[in-house]
Amino acid sequence: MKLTVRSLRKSFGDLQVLNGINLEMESGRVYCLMGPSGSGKTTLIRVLMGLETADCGDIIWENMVSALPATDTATSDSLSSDSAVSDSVALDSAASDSMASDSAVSDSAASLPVANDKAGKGNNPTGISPRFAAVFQEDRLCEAFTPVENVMLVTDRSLSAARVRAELSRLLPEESLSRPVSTLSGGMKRRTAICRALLTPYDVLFMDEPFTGLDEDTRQTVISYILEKNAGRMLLISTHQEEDVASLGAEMIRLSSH
Amino acid sequence: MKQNPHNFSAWRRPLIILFWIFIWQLAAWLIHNNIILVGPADAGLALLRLIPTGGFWLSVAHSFVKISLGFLLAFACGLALGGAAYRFPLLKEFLAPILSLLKSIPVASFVILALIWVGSRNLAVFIAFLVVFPMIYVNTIAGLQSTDPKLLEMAQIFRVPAFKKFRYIYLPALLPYLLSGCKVALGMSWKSGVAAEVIGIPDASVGERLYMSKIYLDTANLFAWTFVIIVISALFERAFLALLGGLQRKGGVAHEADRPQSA
Repeated sequence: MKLTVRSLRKSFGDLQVLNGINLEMESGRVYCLMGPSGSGKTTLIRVLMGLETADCGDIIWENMVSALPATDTATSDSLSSDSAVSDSVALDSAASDSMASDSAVSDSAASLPVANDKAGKGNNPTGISPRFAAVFQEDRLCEAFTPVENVMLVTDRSLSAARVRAELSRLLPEESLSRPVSTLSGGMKRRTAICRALLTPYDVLFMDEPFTGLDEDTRQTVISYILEKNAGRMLLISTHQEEDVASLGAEMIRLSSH
Repeated sequence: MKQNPHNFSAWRRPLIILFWIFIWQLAAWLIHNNIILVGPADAGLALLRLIPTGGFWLSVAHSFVKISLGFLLAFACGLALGGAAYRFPLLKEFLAPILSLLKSIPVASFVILALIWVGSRNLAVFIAFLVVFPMIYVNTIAGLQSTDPKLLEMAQIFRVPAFKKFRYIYLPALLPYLLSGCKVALGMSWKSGVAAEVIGIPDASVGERLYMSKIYLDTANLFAWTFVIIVISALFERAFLALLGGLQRKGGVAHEADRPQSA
């Protein structure tokens, strides 16, 4: 699977956050999104996930190998052997009412507004859309529930509680797994959020500053775990640390400040 | 030697209650008129005389069933319509005038209307429903609106099924509002339900007994029945709130237990 982003622009009122972003990404590779605070890393990730509408530009998913048809939410494993393949899906981020006259419009035949594509699921003419997983800038965990319950919230029924517990125990102390998330430390919550993203079926994983609050040893453990679990899929990580690029064996995408 | 502060705090509340009971008894002695005010001793004796009679339990059961039924129906309807109004804002706007009307019309007006419409037999059900429904409806909408939008975004990205989304994201946000709404509504349902019975005088009801106490100027019985209403109302409130409070954690544990245990 390949992602091509062309001339992507996004502004909030008068503030231009993304100003003509161009990038290409492929499955099986890790990308580190770098840039100073306020350079638009989070906004770019949110636009790619379909949580924000871009003002103009193209987001094109090509040669998509997806775990499931767009209408099916119950998959046991992404990249399964019977997965469906589409030639090209183009998602044109220029919504009809926001198409700027100076925008670079894709000449792709199948173009759809990103705003209508609910997290990659929606008006896709091929019936296939990439399935996303995410580690958000905030942990976004259900605080009253345990780490095991939080992970099982997003996994399908084929993944047993024992398996989830075993996976979590690779990143978290065993005794923390039965406690409500609200009682865990910031670092433990972060690792729970990372584990949750990696154990859900997905085609593309977005991680927004996932290593915040982790000490150096834990950081290395988490990086190894991410690389092991993500194998073969597309991963975009936003980070401030240059050394993460080497640790992850990633390609760097640098955003400049405005 | 220092006194243990925990021992004092354990005794403080009963001592305060005993103090006020003593003041009540003192006032009764000073007034010395059992029509104007009876003391706790006379009220207690009246209660002891009532408890062994079959009529007492029949009246308690009658009012309990009717008022509880009204409350539970209002709870179910308030929850369902509140949920629907949250989902469909047009429905919320559509129901807004009715809700304003329900909240502002005096209970006494409703009671008289209800006597014409449904008769005295199911009066308490109707009145408890009308008083409780707006509280549950409003709190349901407020609770659902307090749901963390960031968690909803997370659920959208991970394609969390609707049922799980309700159990893990909406329900924890909704429950505090529902609990606080129910605390007020439970007390109000008994106050308004019994008041309606006093006006409508349905046979074998607590309201009818209160009415008789008024007719015969039997203040001791009035106090005894009032005490009974407070106790039943408090017990029902505690049982219902405990049930609601236990719902959230029970749901989470059951979810994990549902899964096969093999890897």
